[in-house]
Amino acid sequence: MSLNHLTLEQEVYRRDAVFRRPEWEFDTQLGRYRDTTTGRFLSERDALALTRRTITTATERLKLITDQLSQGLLRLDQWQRSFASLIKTLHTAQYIIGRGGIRNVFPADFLEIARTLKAQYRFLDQFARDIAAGRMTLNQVRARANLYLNNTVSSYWRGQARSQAVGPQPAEMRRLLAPVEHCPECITYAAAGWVPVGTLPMPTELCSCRANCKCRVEYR
Amino acid sequence: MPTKDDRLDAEPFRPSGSPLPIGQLLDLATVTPQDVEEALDLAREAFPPRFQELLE
Repeated sequence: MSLNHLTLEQEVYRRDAVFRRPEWEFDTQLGRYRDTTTGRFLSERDALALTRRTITTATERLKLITDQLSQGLLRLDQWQRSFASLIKTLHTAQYIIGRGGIRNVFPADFLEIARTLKAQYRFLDQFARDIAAGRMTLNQVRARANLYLNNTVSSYWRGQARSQAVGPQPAEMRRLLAPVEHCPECITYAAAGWVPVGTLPMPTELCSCRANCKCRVEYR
Repeated sequence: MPTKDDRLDAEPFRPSGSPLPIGQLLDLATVTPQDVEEALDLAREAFPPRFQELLE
C-alpha cells in the first residue's frame, strides 16, 4: 500500500514506528529485553540479528587491518595485536548483548570473557605462526581470520546463559536448528529435545560447523 | 594471464615481522572498563537507531 492511501490511524502508527524512540530494559526474571513503551519483548531472532550486525561491522575493521598487513603498513606482530584487540572488543560486545546490557555485567563476567579470549588467543598464536611460516595465501589468511569473528556469537550465548541464571532457574534447555545446512553433531543435539541445563554445548562449540554454527538455544 | 585474485590464492603470503610472543598475547586477554567502552562503541556503530540504547 502506498503511503498516500494510509488512513489517519495508520499514519499515526506509521509515524510512531518511525519516530518513537523505544525505551529498552532487560527483564532479569525472564532474561529478555523489553521495550517499556509498548511492553513488547525483543525477539531472539532480532537479538541474533544484532549480533550479526556487530560481526559485520567488526569484519570491516578486520579487512582494514588485513589490507594494511598486505600492503606492508603493519608488521605481523602489529596486525596480531590489532586483531587481538578487535576480537576482544567483539567478544565483549556479544557477551553484553546476551547478558542483558551493561547494567547486568559484573566483574565475574569480565573473567568469563577473559577465559574465552585466552582460548582464542592461543589459536591466534598458531595462526600467526602459520602466516610467518608462509603456509598460507592472503585469501586463506582473510578467510581464517573471519572465522574468529564468526566465533564470537559463542560469547552471546555464554552471556545469555549467565542472564538465565539470574531469574528463576530454568530446568531444561534445547537446541534449535536454524534454516541452514547443519553438521551431524548439531542434528544430534537438536534431536535430544529438552534436556537438563548444561547438558548440551553452546552453538559453535563441539560441532563441525564451529564458528559458522547458526543454531539457537531455548530454556524453560 | 593470472588475475590478482588468482595470485592471492596461489602465492604464499609473507608479511614483514614475526609473531607476537604468546605471553604478550595472553596479557591482552584482560578485560578493562576501557575495553567495555570500546565494545559498546562497536555495538552503537553496528546497531540500527532504534536499538542504539539497548545495552545502556
